[in-house]
Amino acid sequence: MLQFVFNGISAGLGVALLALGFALIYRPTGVFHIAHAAVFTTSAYAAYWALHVYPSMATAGIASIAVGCSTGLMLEWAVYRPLAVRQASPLAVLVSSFGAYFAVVHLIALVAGSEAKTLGRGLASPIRFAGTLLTPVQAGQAVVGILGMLAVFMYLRFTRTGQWTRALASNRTLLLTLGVNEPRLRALLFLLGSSLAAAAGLLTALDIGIHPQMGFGCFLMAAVAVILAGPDRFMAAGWAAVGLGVAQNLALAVLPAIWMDSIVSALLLVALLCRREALVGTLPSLGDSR
Amino acid sequence: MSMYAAHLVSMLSIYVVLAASLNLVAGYGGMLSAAHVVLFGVGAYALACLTSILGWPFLIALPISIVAAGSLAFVVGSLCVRLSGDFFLLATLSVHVLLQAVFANWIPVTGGPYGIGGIASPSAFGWSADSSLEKAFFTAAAAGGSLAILGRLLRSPFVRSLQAIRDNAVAAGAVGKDPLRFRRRSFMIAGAFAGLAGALYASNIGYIDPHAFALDEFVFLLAVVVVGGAGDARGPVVGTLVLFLMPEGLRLLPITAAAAANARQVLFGLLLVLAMRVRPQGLVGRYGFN
Repeated sequence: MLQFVFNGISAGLGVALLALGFALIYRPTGVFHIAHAAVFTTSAYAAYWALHVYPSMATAGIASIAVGCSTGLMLEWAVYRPLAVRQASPLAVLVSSFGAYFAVVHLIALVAGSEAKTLGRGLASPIRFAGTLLTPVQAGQAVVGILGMLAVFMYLRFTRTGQWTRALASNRTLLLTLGVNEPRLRALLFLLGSSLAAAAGLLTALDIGIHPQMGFGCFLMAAVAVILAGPDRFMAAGWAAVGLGVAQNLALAVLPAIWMDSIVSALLLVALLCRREALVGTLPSLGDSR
Repeated sequence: MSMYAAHLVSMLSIYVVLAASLNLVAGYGGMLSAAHVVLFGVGAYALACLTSILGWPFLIALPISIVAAGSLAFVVGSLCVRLSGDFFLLATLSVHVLLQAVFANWIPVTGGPYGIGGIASPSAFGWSADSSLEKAFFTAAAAGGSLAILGRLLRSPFVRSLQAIRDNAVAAGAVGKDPLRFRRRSFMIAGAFAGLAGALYASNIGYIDPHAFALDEFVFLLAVVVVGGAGDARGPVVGTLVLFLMPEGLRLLPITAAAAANARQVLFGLLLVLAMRVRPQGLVGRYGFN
């Protein structure tokens, strides 16, 4: 049982990176960035190609973060920013994000093929910890996850742009009256969010390998964590992701792994149905619930 | 008429009905449903199980398939119609993932990844559509009848009330129109038509598996409704013709079928992004997902 808990914490901390990256974009900008899953996938493929060119972890890390950040910024400039300028509805933004996700993922499949690939690290010797066995990638996932959560906390708490980020999530109109450059702040948020997604993509690639659809299941889990965390709460999304990771791994003890995505989807449905502000009549939407 | 042309007519007819039913809920009701493709799948699987496994005649299996999809739509609708635009899309997306997992893993009934073969062709009173040409005529006639019924429904006070609820649910509620009741009913009707399209699909192809109802199919359907134009009866017809014929050019290129499938999905994704940016009401539509 303890093994399932540790596996869950490690996997949950990996998803926490994706969830925090998503929360950094979604909470302040109102963009329900489904294409965040595509950023995750492109970063994982960048690590795969980098390892083939020059087999070093540093190269893989730099390549995945560079490609992830570029993809995130490109999506902001080409897809979301024009919609924000003409004040498109959150539904229109969501449809665009959906389209962008599919275009990027199938472009990857077109270029690299649809089959699954491993990063060829071979069987690593496990690390013994509190009577359980963890692979080096699982341990790395836990360490990077904790460092990532700490970095996001420091950014939000101790930097001026972090304060602006919280202010944008809380009261956009008031923030803009102070002369803050919103397009630049949005670009910075997409950059930060995408770098976290890239780190998550790299760690997942090292752990279980890559395939073009790898991002969607992880993104669903991250989205559930962010919705469960509630409005205006950034760090809670990370803790919710860890909790989901543990719950999912404990569920593996009684259910076949093929039902894991279904469990996450059911949780997403329940999380959405339990949100009072999502109901018709009050009629706010994802973009308005910042 | 060649076999290919007959097959194209059948597929066009099926997808026009499917897109028209999604247009009822998305274009007129403002409820963009990602679960529509799995309701299409429920119709197909119901007909496949009844004719191929139980050996029931087509004429009895067809209405049961329509009722099965409509009943499931009623259940999904009862849960989800309380949610507004983008929340609704996400909730139905989770329903899609759940049902897709059922199609893929409930092997005794759906055949799992192996699918179900030997599905009965359309037949009635001793007549059976054995050739592609006969299937095309039957499917086109069924689609024509469905479009006539949907067209009449779109001109009814029911759909005018649905449009009023889409534009302002609070105001429509103030004049006695219960938003949830109208939304639920329209979702159920659209689900029943999706079930009919699914049953026609299964009887035309003769074999179904979960891939036919995957998220890729939803992106295609979404592109049909968005590009054709939501909120207008002509939109699904225009969208289906454009999106069926546009990728036909890929057949002329020297690429594999898998590459062509990925290229099609890239095209559909980009079309969604472009439509939302340039013309959200599509080619002939009246509703821009505002």
